[in-house]
Amino acid sequence: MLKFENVNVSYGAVQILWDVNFEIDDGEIITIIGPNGAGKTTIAKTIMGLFKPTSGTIEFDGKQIHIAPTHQIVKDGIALVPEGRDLFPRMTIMENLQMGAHTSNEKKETLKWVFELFPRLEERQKQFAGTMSGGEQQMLAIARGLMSRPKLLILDEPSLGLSPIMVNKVFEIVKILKSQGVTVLLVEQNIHHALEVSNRGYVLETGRITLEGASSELLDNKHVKEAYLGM
Amino acid sequence: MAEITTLIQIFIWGLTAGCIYVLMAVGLNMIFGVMKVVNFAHGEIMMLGAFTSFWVYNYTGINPYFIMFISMIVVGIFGVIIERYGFRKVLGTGKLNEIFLSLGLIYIIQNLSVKLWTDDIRKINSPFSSMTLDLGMLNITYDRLIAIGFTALILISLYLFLTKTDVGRALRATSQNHEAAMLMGVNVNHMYMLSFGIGSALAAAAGTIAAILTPFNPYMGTISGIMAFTVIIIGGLGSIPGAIIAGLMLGLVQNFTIFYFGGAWKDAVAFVLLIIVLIIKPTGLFGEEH
Ligand SMILES: Nc1ncnc2c1ncn2[C@@H]1O[C@H](COP(=O)(O)OP(=O)(O)OP(=O)(O)O)[C@@H](O)[C@H]1O
Ligand SMILES: [Mg+2]
Repeated sequence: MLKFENVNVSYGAVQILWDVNFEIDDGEIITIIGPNGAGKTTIAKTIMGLFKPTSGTIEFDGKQIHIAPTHQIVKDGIALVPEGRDLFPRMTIMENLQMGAHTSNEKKETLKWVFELFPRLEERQKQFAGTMSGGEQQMLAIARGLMSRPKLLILDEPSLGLSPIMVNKVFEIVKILKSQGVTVLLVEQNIHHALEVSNRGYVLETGRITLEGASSELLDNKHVKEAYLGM
Repeated sequence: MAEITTLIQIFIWGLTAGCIYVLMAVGLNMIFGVMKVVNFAHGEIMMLGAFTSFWVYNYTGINPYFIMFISMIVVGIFGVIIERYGFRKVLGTGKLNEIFLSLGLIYIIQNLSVKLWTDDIRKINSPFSSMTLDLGMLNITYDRLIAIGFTALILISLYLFLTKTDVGRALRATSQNHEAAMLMGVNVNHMYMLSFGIGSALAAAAGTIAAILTPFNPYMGTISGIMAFTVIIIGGLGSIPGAIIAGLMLGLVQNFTIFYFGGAWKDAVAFVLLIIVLIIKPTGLFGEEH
C-alpha cells in the first residue's frame, strides 16, 4: 500500500532522513519506534507532502505521492493525526469533525461510525475543542482523522502525555480499527503497547532504519529491550 | 450640555464613520487571519472600489447601492489577482518582502489612478441624498441609515458564510491552524485567494459608501488605510468581532471628539485610543494571548 524507497529528507543543509526504506501492506498495523529527534515526525510529514524528499520515492496505491501537494495526498486516502494534535481550538467538536470530512462525500455515515467509536464526542459536539482536556483532545484528533475515511491512518505519538486510562483507550481504538481492516502507521514512544497491537515494526535512529521485524521479534530483541524497554 | 438631539445626530455620524472602518478592518483581518500578511495597500483597494462604483454610476446611472455589489465583485477579483501574482510570490520569503510589496502597491495604484482619473474631487450622488428622516428636532439623512443597514447586511452574510458553509469553515480552519487545514485536505492556496478576494470586496463596499457620503479623490485611501490598521490593532489582530467593536468605537470617539474639541483632533484621538488600549491590553481588545 505504502512504500518508501531510499527517501532522503533535509531541513536546509541538515539532513534528517537517510535512505529510508519501508513498506506497509493493506490492513497492517505498523509501528515506527525511535528516540527523540530520530526523525519519526519527519517521516509522517513527508508522507503527507509537508516535506519534500531531496531524493527517493514514496508510492501509495501504485501512485507516486512524494511530488503531490498535501491536499491531494489526503484525497488519495491518507490521514495524519499529528503530534500535538493540532485541533482547531476555536471550533466546536462538530466543526472539527466536519473539517476532517472536508474531502469526503459520505459525511453522514462516517459521522455515525465515528460517534460509535467515540460516544463522548457525540454528547459534547457543541463544545469548543480548545476547552477539552488533553485526553479528550486526542480522541477528537483521531476521530477527525477518521472522518476522511482514510485507507491509511497515521498516528504520531497518540499516547504522548496522556493518563494511563486514556493511553489504554487509544490502543483500544487502534485494535478496533485493526479489526475493521483500517491500515495504521503508529509512531510511538510507548513501545510496549504499540508493538503489542501491531504486526511489524521499524526502529529509526538518527534518521536511519536500524532494525525491522515482526513485533514479537522486536519485543524480544536485545537492543530494543536495552535501549527502549529499560530491561 | 448639548441638546440630546445633537448628541443623537453625532451618534449616527459616528456610527456611519464606524461602519466604513468596520468594513475596512474586517476585510484586512480576513486577509491577515488566513495569510498572516498585512496588506498596507488596503486603503488603495478601497479607493478602487469607490472609483469603480463612480464610473459604473456615471455610465449607467443605476442606483449606487446596487452598483456597490458590482464594485465588490470587480474589486474582489482584482484582490484575487494581486494575491495570486503578487503576494503569493513573496509569501514566506521574509516579512520585509511582503511589506515592501504592499507599500509599493500603494504608490502604483495611487499614481496610476491619478494619471487615469486626475486628482479632482468627485462624489457619487445618491438618489436619496436630499431625503432625510424627519423626527421633529432630529434630521437623519437616508444615506447614513442605508449605509448602516448595508454594513449590517454584509457582516451578517459574511458571518453565515464563515459558519454555515464548507468553504467558510475551511477559511476559518486555515486561519486557526494553517498546517492542520492542509492535513484536512484544504487547498490553502485557494483559501489565500478567497481571503484576498473577500477582504478586497469588503474594502470596495467601504469605498462606495464613503464616496456616497463624502467627496473623494485617488488619495482617499491613505488615511482610511491607516485608520483600518489602527482599528485591527485596537480590536486585536485577526479578530473579526474585535474589528467590529473597535471600528464602531473609533467612529464614535472621533465624531464626539470633533464636536467637543474640533476637527483638528480627529486623527490624533485615534492614536490616543490605540495607545490607551495597548497599555491596558497589549494584544488588543479581542486579541489572543500567545
Ligand atoms: N522545522 C525544523 N527545522 C529544522 N530542524 C527540525 C525541524 N523540525 C525538526 N527538526 C529536527 O529534525 C530532527 C528530527 O525531528 P523529528 O521531529 O522528526 O523527530 P521525532 O523522531 O519525531 O522526535 P520526537 O520523538 O521528539 O517527536 C530533529 O533533530 C529536529 O531537531
Ligand atoms: Mg515526533
